[in-house]
Amino acid sequence: MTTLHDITCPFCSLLCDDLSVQARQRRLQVVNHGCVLAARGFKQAPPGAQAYAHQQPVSHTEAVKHAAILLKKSRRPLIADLGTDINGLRAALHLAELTNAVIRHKYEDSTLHNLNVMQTGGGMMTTFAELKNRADVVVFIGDKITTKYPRLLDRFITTRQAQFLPKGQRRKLICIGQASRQEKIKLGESLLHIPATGNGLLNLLTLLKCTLLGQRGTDQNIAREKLKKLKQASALIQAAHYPVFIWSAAALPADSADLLIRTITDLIAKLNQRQRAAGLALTDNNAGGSLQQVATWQTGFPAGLRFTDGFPDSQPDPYTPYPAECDALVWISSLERDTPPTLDVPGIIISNNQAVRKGATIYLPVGTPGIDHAGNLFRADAVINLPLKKLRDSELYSTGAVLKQIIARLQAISGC
Amino acid sequence: MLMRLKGGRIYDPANADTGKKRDVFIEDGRLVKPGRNQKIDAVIDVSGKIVMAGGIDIHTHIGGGKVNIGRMLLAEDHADNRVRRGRLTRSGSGRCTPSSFITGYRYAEMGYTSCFEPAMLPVNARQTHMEMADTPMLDTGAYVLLGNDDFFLRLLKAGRDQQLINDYIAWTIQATQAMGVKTVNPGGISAFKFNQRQLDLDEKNRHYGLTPRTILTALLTAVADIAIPHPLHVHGCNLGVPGNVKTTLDTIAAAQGRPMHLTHVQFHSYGQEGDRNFSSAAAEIAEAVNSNPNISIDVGQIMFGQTATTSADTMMQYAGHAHAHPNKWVCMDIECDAGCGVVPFKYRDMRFVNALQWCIGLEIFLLVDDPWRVFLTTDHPNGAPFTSYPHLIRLLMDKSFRNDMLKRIHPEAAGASHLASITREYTLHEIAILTRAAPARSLGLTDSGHLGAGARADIAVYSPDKNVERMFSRPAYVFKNGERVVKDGKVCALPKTTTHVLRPDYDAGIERSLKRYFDDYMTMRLGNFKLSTAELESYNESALTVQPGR
Repeated sequence: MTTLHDITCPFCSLLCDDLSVQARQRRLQVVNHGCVLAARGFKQAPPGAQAYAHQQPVSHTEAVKHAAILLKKSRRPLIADLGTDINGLRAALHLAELTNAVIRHKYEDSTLHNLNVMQTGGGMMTTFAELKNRADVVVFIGDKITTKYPRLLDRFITTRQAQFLPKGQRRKLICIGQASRQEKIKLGESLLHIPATGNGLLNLLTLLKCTLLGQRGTDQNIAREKLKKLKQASALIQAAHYPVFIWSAAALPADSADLLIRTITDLIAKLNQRQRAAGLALTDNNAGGSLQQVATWQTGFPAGLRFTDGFPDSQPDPYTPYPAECDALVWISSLERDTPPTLDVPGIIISNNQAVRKGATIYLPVGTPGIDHAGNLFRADAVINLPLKKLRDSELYSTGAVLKQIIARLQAISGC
Repeated sequence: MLMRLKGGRIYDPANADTGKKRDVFIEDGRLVKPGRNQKIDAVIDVSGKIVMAGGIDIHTHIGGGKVNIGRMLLAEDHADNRVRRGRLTRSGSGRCTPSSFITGYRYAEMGYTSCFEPAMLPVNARQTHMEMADTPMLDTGAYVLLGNDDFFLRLLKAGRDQQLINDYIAWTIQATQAMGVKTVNPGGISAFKFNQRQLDLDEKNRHYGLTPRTILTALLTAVADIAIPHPLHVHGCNLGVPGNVKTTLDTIAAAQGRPMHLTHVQFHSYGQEGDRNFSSAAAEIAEAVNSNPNISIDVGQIMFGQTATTSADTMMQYAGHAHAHPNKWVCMDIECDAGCGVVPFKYRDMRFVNALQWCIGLEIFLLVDDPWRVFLTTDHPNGAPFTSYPHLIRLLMDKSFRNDMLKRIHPEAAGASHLASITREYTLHEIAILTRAAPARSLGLTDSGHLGAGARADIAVYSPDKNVERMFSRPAYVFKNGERVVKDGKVCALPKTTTHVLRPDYDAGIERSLKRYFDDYMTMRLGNFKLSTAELESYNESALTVQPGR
């Protein structure tokens, strides 16, 4: 039994890299700096190395061959989920280019909310070390943000280790939306919670923006208690040296997410005319932020990407998660456990979870990045890219390796 | 296999060849002097053609966070400029901020074989190198950005020994796989985080009480002490501010004779004369460069049209955001390390300030005497996309063309510039210095930028044309490591490439202080911050080239 230190956890995009993990043969257990997602993720048993085609066990090479033949026949495959490391994503984009595929990340919708606002206005952003060392007031917008990012508070907000805060100063956390249990317990009196749901969130934020910028806002339909808290929040933000507004698009009401994000980013931009303030749009788990980065540098199209006649292209409106034109599915899932969508098309399942092989036309098992093979992912603040280590012996291929094998086979049979 | 390029006219300033007819021999990826009876396996006839070493861009933003933010932000540029995959080549898009594959192809198709990313944030080293690994055709390298990182500023504030600072810088170069050191608005990016909106050379950062001059001096000393071949690469204070010529001249004086490279100096050469309080100070800057042999510059020429300005200089990018076109911009404070600002911009020939900026850049090129100390750049994409280099070369080589262009710009700007009276025309020999020989020498690349025996066989072959813009847009052939990779201006093979890195020595004791700092304040472990050689080589299965120190 050995204990490995400074291990990066790939199971949420905080990518905590201070974990201690105990390895007993192939079994792994987080023994320090874990969280509920890490504990579950590292404990998962690897899949068997057996590949399947048409429900029959076949050799890996045979399964790769079948996958290439299936993709050669397809006019418009859908490459979906895309929970894998950067090398896997690089290969997935290459495969998509060769097959005129549609690319759909599991959390594509929330990536698009942030992107819509960025591409029409921009933003004033920050990263975790600035949050940790500089932020004296933190504003959470949305519902239970820490549920998806369990150690966000411990690592960057409730910690007292900060270069630019007076010694011992506790940060104030303002939560507009639903506060999680963790937020309530850990912050105690440092939490100013202004509950809101649905359209109420947009009303509150708009009013906060108006209050902070000295504009007229309407406070009808907002309870007196909330108005009082909103005034408190406004005073705290105004007096702060470096307030940071944090949101996760996935934790905002979908029908008003674009408007909410624009309200926040506009407010931050205007606040900066007289004081410093910054936003932190947490990118999605399951490699959501990584796909956005890689797709941008390789193709110039960050999300909603498809390839048409060998050109990169945007998905036409209206956006649909699973376009009807797709005649084959490539489902890549080696991080979050999930089940593939039930589509009436042949499916190539590339996964670290053998339970999903049922119903697949072709199933190719792969390892988990950061456990069975090395790799990289981008962190939720969209700048830092961390290494993932190989922690155990494994005969499983990485997703990137499997996709490259399929590409090589496809190129061989189609001469492309 | 021995290959002969037969009958070309050689422009190889490093070996004092100026248009002389000479054959060039290639074996195992290198230029060689063949033995008297050695069998020649292949001959390529380049009679009458112009043969130069492959181009080297010493300052081009081709990889890393801010470039990628630029790509994300400028969706229009990508939607309007899509490129289909080819038999060999990958697809992509973008003219101002091209995607990575397209960047590599377009550079190669102009005869360039090496490009250096000048602003790699230490915390963003992985992304920078990954993007460069996806930039085919080119050897790459990066200068690591220092001078606003809190660990360094804390050392300096505490009055720690220069040796410790040297150790930290050498350690950072190794940990991030860098090829040089750059500083951007020294202390200013940090000051902006404390809500300071400007910082001149002798103004103090509010938190640290340090001035840019102090920071610059410590960095200049470190670069000299640890024997980094390329001088400290300096993006000075007050970028883009009218009257900043004084700061730039003070910065040159602050170097006190130590080697220093001033980058995109066009943006730092502005006076405040005239009704519009904006004037050319190119003559003063050129005079200072001419009389200070320790100074080298690249120009950062602007060209008219849409582009995106991308810089680590958050302070000045924020200050300029009101000029964003289209009206959207991103600024970011980054990880107690630095920052970035991306502001799309359209330079217009009939806008006085832009037209004069265009003149100022050209004036600097034409007034600096020594071509070995001025490099051809547009600070891609800040002044213009790199694809405008052939046009820029024509402006430098062809006075009548230049004067024709001058007639098209804002007349008051043309009138306020001395450009029309400058008769100098660059020669092919001088262009080969600006774009090949001088960058290689400045970077310490002894086997690049020339065509002597032992050099890498990175070669561009151009068909002579009175219109040099056409000539430099479409080389007849480009060879990378001896392999023909471009034919008639189109990519025909994908070569192996390398990443240039340095390995300066440091006292390993620095890691004790760094570990404490990382454990207390940073958000990743020290061991995970370091980018190992094995990891870097895994990005595109290529080997690094370790350059010796000076």
